[in-house]
Amino acid sequence: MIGIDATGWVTQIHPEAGQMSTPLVANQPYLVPGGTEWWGLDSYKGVEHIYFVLSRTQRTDIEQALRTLPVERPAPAGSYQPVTQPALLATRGLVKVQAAAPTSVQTNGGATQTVTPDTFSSQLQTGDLVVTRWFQHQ
Amino acid sequence: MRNGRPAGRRLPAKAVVALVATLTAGCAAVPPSLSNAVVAFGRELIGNASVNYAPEYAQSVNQLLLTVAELATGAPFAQGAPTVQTAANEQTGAYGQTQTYGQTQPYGQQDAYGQNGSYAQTDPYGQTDPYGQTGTYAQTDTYRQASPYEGTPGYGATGTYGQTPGYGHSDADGPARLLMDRRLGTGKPRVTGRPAATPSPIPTAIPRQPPRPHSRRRCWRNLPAATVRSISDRCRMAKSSTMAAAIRPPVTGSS
Repeated sequence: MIGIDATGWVTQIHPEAGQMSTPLVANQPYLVPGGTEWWGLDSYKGVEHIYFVLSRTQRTDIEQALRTLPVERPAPAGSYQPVTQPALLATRGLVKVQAAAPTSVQTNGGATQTVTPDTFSSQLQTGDLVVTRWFQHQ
Repeated sequence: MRNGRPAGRRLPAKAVVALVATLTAGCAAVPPSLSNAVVAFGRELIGNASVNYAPEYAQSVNQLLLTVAELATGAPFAQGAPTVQTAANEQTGAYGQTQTYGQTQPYGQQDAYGQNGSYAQTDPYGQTDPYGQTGTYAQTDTYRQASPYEGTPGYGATGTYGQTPGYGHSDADGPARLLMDRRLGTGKPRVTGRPAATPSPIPTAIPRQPPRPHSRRRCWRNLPAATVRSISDRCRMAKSSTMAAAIRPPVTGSS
């Protein structure tokens, strides 16, 4: 999972740096980020991307590309130039996209928020499944 | 997006699990049509990364996106000396127009590339659904117009029951009336009373109807609270009798 914020800064979401070679196990739930951490929105508004890349084999090329990126983000120069155009990869191989039942999430502040997750299902035995999602951070 | 700790609660496990557990990916055969695909995609992102941070950083982002694109499409992308955008060449529009990574076709034009008919369901335009919900709010006004019984304090108190809508209504009806007038094309809020000189496009030939004799509200009005219940029941019975009388055909003879 790779996140790119509205300034163009790339963040490796999952797996965390240092755990790159740990493969996912099928039919096992994964929650990101781990522990008590969470992903929020900063002050940089614009189009943000989250790429889900799943491969049956280890992609050392992607791992290497991620290693070349700095970890600590410097402050953008001056007034940042926001990303306004989504960088889309063609979605293909998908069978069904379904909105699951709304789920309540309770924040540490005691507030309750409702989240309606999307479920991407595919019956592909072979071939690719590519999903790109982006959102407008306003 | 930033990473914080520990603050809000993370997304429910169900959300992530549903997404991750159902994703499968592989490296299938590459459709021939993709062999010349272009990574026009992401050029604005890379250009802005160069402006916001550094050209060297943007170069790394570019390489990452190329790698991910190759995985996603299965197509090898020619690495034709990508030029990282700077603030200067971005203003000239040079970036991305001439440096297309050695390829010739715009990436976004790969319509033939196996969408399996599900593109409409999965493309990011689905994220704009909330905008479509604004129409729902507009319908709320329709309800207000169509339901004079709702939220109109003073209803019946001015003796305007049964009049043509918009005439003699209390102020509480004002907003709804204004909207209706706009819908009908007059564009002007109506004031109390029938316009004398300017003919109204609203049909005014609707005859004034006599007040309903057995309205519950009318029965309640000006009565002590202690008697409301019994009077109300009586009114309801009277109304039923009236309706039954209206429906029942007149008896003309006996059998």
